[in-house]
Amino acid sequence: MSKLSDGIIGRIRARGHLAAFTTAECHAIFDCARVRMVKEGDVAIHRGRFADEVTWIAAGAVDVVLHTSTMPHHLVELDEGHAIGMIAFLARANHALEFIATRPLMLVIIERDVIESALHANDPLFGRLLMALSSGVFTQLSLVEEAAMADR
Amino acid sequence: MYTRIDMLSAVVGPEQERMLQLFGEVWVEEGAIIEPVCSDHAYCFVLIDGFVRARDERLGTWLIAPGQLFGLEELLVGVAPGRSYTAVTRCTLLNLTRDALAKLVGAGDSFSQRIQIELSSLAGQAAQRRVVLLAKNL
Repeated sequence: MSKLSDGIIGRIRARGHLAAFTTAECHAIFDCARVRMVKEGDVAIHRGRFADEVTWIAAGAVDVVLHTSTMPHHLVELDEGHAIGMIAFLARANHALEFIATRPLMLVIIERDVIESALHANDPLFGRLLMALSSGVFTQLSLVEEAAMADR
Repeated sequence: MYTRIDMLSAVVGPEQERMLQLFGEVWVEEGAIIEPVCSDHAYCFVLIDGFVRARDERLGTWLIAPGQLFGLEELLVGVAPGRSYTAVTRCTLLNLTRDALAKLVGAGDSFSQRIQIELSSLAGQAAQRRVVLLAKNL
């Protein structure tokens, strides 16, 4: 059982990509999660940093920023319940996007090691989590791309 | 046989055979449009031989080479508006339906775990490439 409240779990489930998981399953997933607080205006996830964790917004909001060769583009705001940093996490790459707190943030973070250990132990819950994140990246990417096109 | 192919390289020997049984093999002629999602089916494809051109109204055009998987986004989340795939040459493809994918990942054994890891990695890489393309095109 994770330390997260059912309310936070509910907000995460409401965002879609974990909707197929029960509240109990979400508690099991977040059992080894850690919490990090970020001040408004601070960078929650730095561009260029290796993605060794996947992060959910338990409270607050972030701006998703895409840096081009000329300027940063503030594309879209994501708030409570959204996962951030999923793309680079799944790609095992450095973050191409930057996430800046537009409100004070409470982040729930699961390290790659936790997920890999669970997968190594054949925990099917985490296999399903990976597939859910795979769908989630494309949904979120569409949001980002639409915002980018509108920003052109 | 398929060790250089994305996704298929996650498994070898009898497990690869087991996975290949879930795929269908299809051939398309040069110029044919390949549709991952139609009214009655949803597929992702592994390109075995030939080249496919992907065209996206937001991201431009890119070439898919042998060994690469495409259509995963469409399989997972549905039609990607404004995107099309055209065979540049005669192509050999393996296709995987949504039901077959569900069977692959639903087994709950170490084999399905490895497939899930590989698929999620491919999804992440595809998405990451698109973010990089987006940054170039803005």
